[in-house]
Amino acid sequence: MTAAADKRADAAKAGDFREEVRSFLRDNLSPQLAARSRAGYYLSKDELMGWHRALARRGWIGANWPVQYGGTGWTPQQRYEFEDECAKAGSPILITVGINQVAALLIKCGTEEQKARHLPAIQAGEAIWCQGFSEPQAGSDLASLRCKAERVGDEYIINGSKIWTTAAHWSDWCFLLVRTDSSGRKQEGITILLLDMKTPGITVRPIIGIDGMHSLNETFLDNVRIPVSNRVGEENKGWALMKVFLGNERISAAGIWKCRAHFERLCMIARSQQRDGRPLIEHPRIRSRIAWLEIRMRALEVILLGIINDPAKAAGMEASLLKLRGTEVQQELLLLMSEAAGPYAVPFHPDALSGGWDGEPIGPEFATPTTAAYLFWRKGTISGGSSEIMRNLIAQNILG
Amino acid sequence: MREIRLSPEQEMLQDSALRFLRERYDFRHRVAILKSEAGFDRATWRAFAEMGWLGLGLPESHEGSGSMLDAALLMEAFGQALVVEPYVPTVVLGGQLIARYADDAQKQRLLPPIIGGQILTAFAHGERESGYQAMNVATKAVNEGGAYRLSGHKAVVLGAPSADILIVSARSAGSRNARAGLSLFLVDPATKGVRVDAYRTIDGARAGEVILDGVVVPATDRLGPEGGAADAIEDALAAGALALACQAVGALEGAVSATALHLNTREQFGQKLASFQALRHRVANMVVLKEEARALARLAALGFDDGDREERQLSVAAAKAYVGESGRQVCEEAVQLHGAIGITDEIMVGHYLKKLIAVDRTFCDVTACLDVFMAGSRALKSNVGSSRTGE
Repeated sequence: MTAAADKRADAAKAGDFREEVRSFLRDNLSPQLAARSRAGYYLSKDELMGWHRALARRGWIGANWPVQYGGTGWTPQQRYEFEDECAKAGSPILITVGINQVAALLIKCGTEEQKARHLPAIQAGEAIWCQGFSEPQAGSDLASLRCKAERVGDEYIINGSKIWTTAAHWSDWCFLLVRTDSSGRKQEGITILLLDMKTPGITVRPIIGIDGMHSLNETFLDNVRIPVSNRVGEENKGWALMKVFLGNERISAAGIWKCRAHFERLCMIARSQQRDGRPLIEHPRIRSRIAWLEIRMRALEVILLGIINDPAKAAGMEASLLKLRGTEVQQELLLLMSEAAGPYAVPFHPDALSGGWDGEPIGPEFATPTTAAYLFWRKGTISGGSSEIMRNLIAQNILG
Repeated sequence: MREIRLSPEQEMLQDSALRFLRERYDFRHRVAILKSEAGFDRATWRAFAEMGWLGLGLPESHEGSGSMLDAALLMEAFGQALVVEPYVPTVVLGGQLIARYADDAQKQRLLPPIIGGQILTAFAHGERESGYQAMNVATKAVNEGGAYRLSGHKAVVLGAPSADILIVSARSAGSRNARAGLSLFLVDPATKGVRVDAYRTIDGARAGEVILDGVVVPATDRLGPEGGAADAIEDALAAGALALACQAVGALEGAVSATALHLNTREQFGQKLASFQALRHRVANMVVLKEEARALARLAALGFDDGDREERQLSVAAAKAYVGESGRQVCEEAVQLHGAIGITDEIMVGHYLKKLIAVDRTFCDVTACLDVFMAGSRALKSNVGSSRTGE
């Protein structure tokens, strides 16, 4: 541990660390943004990236990266305290593809040039990343992907399409899986490429979600040229490297810290809403459902803290467990919030969900986003490896 | 929340316990113990003493050793082997009460022989009417100047038939549920007026009803101050609930392993049961619940020595509620996936289910634990500025 990290650890012991985080949040998180984020409104790209850059200036993006790449050197305890304070303050939930997945893979298998080019940009919030994995015929069976890359000189020429590319319309870079060989097993012949989204030949088509909003896309690639220097690892050997990436994706998709934020919001709503002449939070059935959720969150947080600083464990059973259960907890939290809105869970008001709208809300302020969020996050148990895939992996681990 | 990282010594403690129990406490050995008159094995108890396990979690100043997390790891191993020896009544309840609340003379007299394996204790606290309310004690203690006279009926006292010392809670003042007015007494079961009606429990242990009829106890055998035993009682019950939750986690480990082995052995429709996805996914769910239960139980153990009573109550309640609800489901699934053999007394899996049921009904059940958790959770308060749950 470095001297700086030692000092931070000591400060945490003295209880200063939470205060350090709180004071940063007081100074940097505007009450308007916190209120919108806490109430569950959809934040704009500028709002999200503005918050990302504020954290970056403080050195708090990429908390668990190795210190030599700009990581914080936080202990798991400090990480927990940081996330807990952020959740309580209503800070926005960042786009984590670059910070968690792409960075972990580049740190492990990227060239020095790739690391130097991408890690600082990810950290500073200068580049948003998306993932080009799923295809119309390759969902849970990811390894059957067909998007084709042909090597011509020092370039690959890509033809095919990707689907469910979250935030492709905002992204500067895409972490792309392509097929470079289809002669052998499907897991062989997959190559990882880094695609600059400004490259000619890319078409991004919006897919409107069940919440009525645009976050998903279909991405078409028509003779798109990618330099060979943007390949990560060897040609045809991408699948083996994906273990780390997918493990980190599972940990991100588990949304354990996000659950903390949802939980704070749920309790706030349940305190403010009346049911049968008393606060909803005093209703015995609601209380016991919230209590069970809190107990389950405690368990998941402990499991997460046990692996958070150990990259080797990201590919292990714990990551599948966290993904499976974290998304279930999240969905139940959102369901409860929607229930708390009562009849006002029914009005559909997409204008009010997006950034920049400042009209009168329909019903209580929290009501409008609750059902939309509930609907949108049905994806939690589907994307990033469905719950069924997680159960396959956990069963494989114990049954062979 | 906290990270739980075991030291190499702690890993070794659990490994050596599991190895010892594999070699010395297999299924057939356990069946023989269950059928024996005493219902436990003195030789095994002596071996526990030699391993240093009878002082785990007790203060080191009295030859005890280690933290509650150490004790928790041992309890996991005990749960996996379904050890029936009266460890919880003697070391966790008796040992904790004496180590924390007895005077020096009492400690000197009792702790070395507890840790050395020479004497056994039991905590005679719950009563027929008390349910899971820790302060609900009707047993009377009348101070007669220099001695007390105890009368009452203590229900389902674990380890009572083998106890050399009963630690009895009784009320000298206050109404039935009052915190004030409760005292603890060290009672030799051979004293005139003490009757122990012994029986077996469903999980293979021994317990009994303890009837006290005007039992005279000298004031020197009062444990702690007169009328001020509420904290001690709560501490003991919390330690007991935690130990049982950890045993339950070990039982879940055993139930899941047994199920995995069964599915990889048994063939139907021309293939191993383990090849059916419908069954594989159910095993995956069992693994998940088991790991969550373990995380909660170890978290509670880790926080036990910290001295924050509120957080301790909360985390023990969370762990105990979770094994009571989800742990039971895991064992029910284990029985189901074993098929008909699962409902026989001839293999371990049914015994794991019995253990989980016994654990849930002892000290505090799911409903009682959830009530404790809801009362203590900062998030569930009706009117706070912000809910602070994790500090």
